Amino acid sequence: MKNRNLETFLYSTLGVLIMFGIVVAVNLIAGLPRTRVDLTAEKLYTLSDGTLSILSKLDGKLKIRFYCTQDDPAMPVSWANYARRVEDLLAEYRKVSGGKIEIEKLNPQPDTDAEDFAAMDNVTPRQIDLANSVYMGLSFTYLDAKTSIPFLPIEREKFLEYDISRAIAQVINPQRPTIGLMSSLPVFGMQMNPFMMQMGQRGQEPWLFVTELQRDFNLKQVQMDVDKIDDDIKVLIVHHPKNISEKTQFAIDQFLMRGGRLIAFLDPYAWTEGRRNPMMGGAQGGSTLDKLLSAWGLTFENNKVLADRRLRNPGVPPEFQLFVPSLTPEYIKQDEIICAQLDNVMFGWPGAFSGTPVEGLKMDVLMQSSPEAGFVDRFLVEMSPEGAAKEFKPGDKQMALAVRLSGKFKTAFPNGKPKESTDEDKKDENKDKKDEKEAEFLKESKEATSVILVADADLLHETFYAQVQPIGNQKIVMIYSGNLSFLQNTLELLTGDSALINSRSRATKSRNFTVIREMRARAARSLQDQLQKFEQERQEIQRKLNELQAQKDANQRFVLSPEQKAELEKYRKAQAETNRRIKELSKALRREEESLETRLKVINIGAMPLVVTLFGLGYALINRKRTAAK
Amino acid sequence: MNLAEALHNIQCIGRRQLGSYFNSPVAYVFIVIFLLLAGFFTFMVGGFFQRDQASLVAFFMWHPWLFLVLVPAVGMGLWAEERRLGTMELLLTMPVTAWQAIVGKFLAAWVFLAVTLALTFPVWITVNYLGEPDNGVIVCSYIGSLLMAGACLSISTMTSALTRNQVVSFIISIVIILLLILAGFPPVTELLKSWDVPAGLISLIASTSIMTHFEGFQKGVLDLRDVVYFLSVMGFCLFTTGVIIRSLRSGH
Repeated sequence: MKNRNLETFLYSTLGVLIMFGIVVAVNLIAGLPRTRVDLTAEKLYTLSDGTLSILSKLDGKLKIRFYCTQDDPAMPVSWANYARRVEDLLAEYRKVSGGKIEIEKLNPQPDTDAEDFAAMDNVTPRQIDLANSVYMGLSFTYLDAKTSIPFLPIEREKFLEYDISRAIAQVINPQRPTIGLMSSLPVFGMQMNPFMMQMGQRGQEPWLFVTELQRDFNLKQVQMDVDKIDDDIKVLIVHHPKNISEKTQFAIDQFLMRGGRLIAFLDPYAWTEGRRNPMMGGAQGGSTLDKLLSAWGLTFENNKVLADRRLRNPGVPPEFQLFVPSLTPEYIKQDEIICAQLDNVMFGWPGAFSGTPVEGLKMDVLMQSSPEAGFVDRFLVEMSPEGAAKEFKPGDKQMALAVRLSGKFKTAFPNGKPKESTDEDKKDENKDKKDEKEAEFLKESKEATSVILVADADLLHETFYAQVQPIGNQKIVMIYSGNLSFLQNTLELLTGDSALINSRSRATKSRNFTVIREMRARAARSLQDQLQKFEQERQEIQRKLNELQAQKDANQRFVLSPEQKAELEKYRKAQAETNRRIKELSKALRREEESLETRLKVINIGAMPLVVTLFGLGYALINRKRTAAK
Repeated sequence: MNLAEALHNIQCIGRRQLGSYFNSPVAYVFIVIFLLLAGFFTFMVGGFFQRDQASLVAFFMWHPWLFLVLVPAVGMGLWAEERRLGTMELLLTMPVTAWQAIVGKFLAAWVFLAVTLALTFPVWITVNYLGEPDNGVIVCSYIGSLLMAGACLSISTMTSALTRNQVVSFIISIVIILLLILAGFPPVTELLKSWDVPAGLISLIASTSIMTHFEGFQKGVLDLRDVVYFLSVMGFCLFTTGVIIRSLRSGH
């Protein structure tokens, strides 16, 4: 009886209401864990771990404004699709952040508030044709900090997540990162001093890359003989460390152990150095970080210069061409964030890295030579470039010009700080010993870090990537190769959040109708053939006309002879014929496309219903027969 | 009563219902209309070729609207017909409990919809011929579409139990499904926005919509929340159907 009561209670209006409550509750609970399966081939809706760890650092509200031109016929379809993907990805960010991210979509039209906001947020439109420009930018506001991505070019789609996450990391932690720069070359320029003035020399200006980096970063000069790298330095650039002491290598080693990141430009032959110091009689020796490199399992021969026959640079004097390889995109790893969109990097008398990294380190080759490369001794190059070129024998192996090592590094100095037995040191020996006992050194890096090694130091000099023309007091800089962008990309990556360093590129495939595309390409080819044929005919007729003209008398020059008239008539006919053929071809293409479309439409719309109808009729017929027989 | 017996009963009811579908010409007419409409909207209205994208977006975007009209037509007869003919009492005197009959009939109708949906496979072959679509997304969209059809069907099962007139059932169920679609239809949410409805309320309203939940599937993301939403709509509507049928019986 009791059971019965419960049942009537359950199956009542009240029961329905309770059930409704349960359903709502279940839906709410189901929303809590983010259980989902991403079935897209490119895992479009799965954010990387790096992004997740950055988002977990959010404390307050992050406001993202997406400026995007909407409903504008001028907006190319592919861009509109891209804008939708950006929106999808932003929605993903919002979902993951658990309500900490707020997204506002704005449509900046002329003379609207949205346009003013965009200007304030430093989001700029891009011109797409003479009359139209479109917006597609992001701005990020977090507490008092603000940053923006002025425009999201569709070519950088692969790096969309990286770009957004980097901007978020920047706005969470808005300080300008500090970068250390250690160089044996006068990259910071030389101040004039009285002694030099006496010698009749002028002060040297800093290298262009130094002034460029000073805009975005706190650039700090690090002397070549330091025994500790300052703690505030996040990334250290070591540039042509010639004759570097073990002590300083130990300092760099410990800097890495503390989680610092390193970019090293090593060079067997610094051409820039020779040129800069004509008094000293040319360059003296190459540079390397022998202790560190051997601990990582790599070798860099600092007295062998790499020559490359295939990557010759036609822009330099012929005797130098072998030694100034100009890398085209196929020799640059394109899916790496730091190399993205570098279409040309120019080296000057580089070396090369070889060897396999020790266990625990991962090596990616970022740039490499062509297979037709080989080594030439440095002293030969110094003596005479022509002679060195004669000596050169190309090999058959591609060689690494720039590599990235990542992972947990082990110290190259397992016995601690190297001792130096100079007199001065002996005096302080007691003191040093005390220091050593106090200052424990690190044997392994605490977290994974990255080292980028480049086999050339010259490439940072402006001669190798830009043309600088002084006009009055100003300088006009025209960049022609990607050397500086490479450095800037690398620094952007290395100064960024550690979570982002290993972020991958997400490639999205364009999924067009390949069959139709091929059809069009085929038609375009035969069109091209027609045009070429016409061009030949035209030239032939032109030649004949000229001949006829030359044969004529001087006083008849301005009157057309009957032969010329005939040729002209021929020309007109040929032109009309070609035009007709072109029209025919494009008509045929259109017909072919249309017939394919119609065929597919008919199959898709009509075929299945027909099959179903026939099946139904057949089934009914059989059924009737069966029942009739009964 | 054990589970095996219950399953057996459900199976029997389901088979009977399914058989009655395919024995009547209405089912074939329904399938033909669905296929014709789906094809027509995809290729003529949806701009399938103009998109130049090997995806079935132009196909799946019409599904909520197709289901709006066609699913109530499948579900309207489930109980209304039994009530009109007076066979419901007969059905319920059989050694079958009410919920077994409800689930059996519902599953039969759902299988029928699944068959209809499966018959759209030429369009899948077409995109694979024309280009390289993301087949994961397509599978996901089909799963979503099937779940959405189930949710619409459960609503129409419920309205079918409410009345003995199929047309009334058809209309009520269209109204309910339309409301559920419109709650998350972008033009409607835009309109609400322009009326200064608080954003939180708008997203709450939108979260009750089958449109919002179908969207995730169309993108290729199988989200637990979306699956739970459709399943809970089905569960709730079938439960309510049970309550209605019980109250009918006790009313007699």
